[in-house]
Amino acid sequence: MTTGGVCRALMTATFIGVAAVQSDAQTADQHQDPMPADRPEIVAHAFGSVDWVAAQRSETPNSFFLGQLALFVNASINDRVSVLAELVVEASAATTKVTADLERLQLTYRMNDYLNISAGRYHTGIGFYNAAFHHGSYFETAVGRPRIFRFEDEGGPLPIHEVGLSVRGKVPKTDSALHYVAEVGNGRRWADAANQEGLDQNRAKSTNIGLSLRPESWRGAEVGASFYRDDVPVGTEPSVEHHIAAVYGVYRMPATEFMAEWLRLSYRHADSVTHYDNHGGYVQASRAFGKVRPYYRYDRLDINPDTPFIGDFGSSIKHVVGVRLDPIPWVGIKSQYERLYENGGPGANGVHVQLVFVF
Amino acid sequence: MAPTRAALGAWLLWTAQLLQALLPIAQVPSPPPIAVIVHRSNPVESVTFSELRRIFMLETQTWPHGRKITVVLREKGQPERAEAIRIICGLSEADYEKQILFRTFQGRVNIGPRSIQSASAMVRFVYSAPGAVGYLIADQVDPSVKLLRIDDLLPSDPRYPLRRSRRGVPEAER
Repeated sequence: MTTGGVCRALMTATFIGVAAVQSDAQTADQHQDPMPADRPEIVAHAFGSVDWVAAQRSETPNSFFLGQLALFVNASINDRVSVLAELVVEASAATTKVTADLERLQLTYRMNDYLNISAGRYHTGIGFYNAAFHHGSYFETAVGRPRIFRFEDEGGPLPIHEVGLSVRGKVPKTDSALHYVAEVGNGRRWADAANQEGLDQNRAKSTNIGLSLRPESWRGAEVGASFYRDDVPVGTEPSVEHHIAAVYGVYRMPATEFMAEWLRLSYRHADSVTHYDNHGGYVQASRAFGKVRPYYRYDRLDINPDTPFIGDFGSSIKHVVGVRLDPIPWVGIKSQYERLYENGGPGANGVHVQLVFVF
Repeated sequence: MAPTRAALGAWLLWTAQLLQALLPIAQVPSPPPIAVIVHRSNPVESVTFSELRRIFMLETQTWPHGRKITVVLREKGQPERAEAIRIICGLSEADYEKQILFRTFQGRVNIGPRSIQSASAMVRFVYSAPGAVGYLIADQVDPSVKLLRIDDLLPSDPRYPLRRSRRGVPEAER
């Protein structure tokens, strides 16, 4: 095993150990009255999934596989300072080998409801979906993320993760309705992504700002917009200016869910006036009838093939129709039919079943 | 015919008088409402119902004077917990748990609500935690904690919003 492998194994063991300790603590709490704590408190959970997928394409036989196991820990050091970590373990269906990725690690200082400052690795606040669902497939109604929000290592076009500083909170004197987020990070690494240290490749930092409105008179509703910019170095060539504008409208209540997002990804070489504009987004709706929740998602990505970095990602349109069943608390089963059109080609059918759970 | 009609009229009158006499006995008094309590040193006197909901949903996590809010609920499975969550947050207990975990996973919540076994333990906790906010049935409140007004109303006011219905279902949801 390599040094990196040993480190990852140790991290995983630490997470599991913390989870076990927390489990004991929760059990003990049921038999005694908790009193105000003067020591760090830890919350630990794990989110897992088991999948079965079948596609019309002959090169991909139907198969079972293990989804991501997200180990989540949130430790409150004191009233204002906390640490959050999300370690995702992915296992092969054929062997017991695993790969571990530290998806989030944030130290947060909460001055008050108006100012929360975090440092570390975070999910960018571009649009709604990315910073809402993270790697917790249990919370997602449908199987999988919309194409535009797919993770970087799965062919996603967005900077999903970044390392840097993040500030968020409520805007004062708006009756808690208006929220903001501002982020400064290294930006997505498009070249030499496997670099071990992963330091920024230029002085320019990526920035992202967003505003969202959650009116109290319409609980569950949220509308928002964000704007991201970065300068991406391209070897000895002029850098590429990268902008992402996102708008969204969401209504999420226990029984009803409606989500719609649209993003525009713009790229321009610094010495050129030519813009490469790309679009992506989705509309998703679901309604719960007891433990059963039917849902539909329209998922679209339009990529200009001449665009730097993402030109070969391909365009797609996908219709998803499915049903989610939550037979017992913290366990869900999703079954969905998918109709996928890629790069203007004929449609392909697929079926995806996913068992999700939290413990 | 006339004597029969007169007898019927007398019987109806007698029945009406009997019902009128028995009605107050048959009426079940409204159960005492839910009272929201905080530490005696907390300078907050009143919150709006919307603010209270945001506090219990952990969307608001600090008091206006800057102290961290600690939300205290009765233990899982106790009817007092489900009833308070339904009245204050408008959610079932299961949906509330899911929502709190969702917000914790998003990194927006450090620690979820505390769980307390009994009303007396609730009073003891709030008494000893300056940032705590909990709840009791109104007739269980004692002077060691401070009663919070909701929409500037005390539980004794008929317009007080945290009223419990006779069947345990909040009147707003009927």
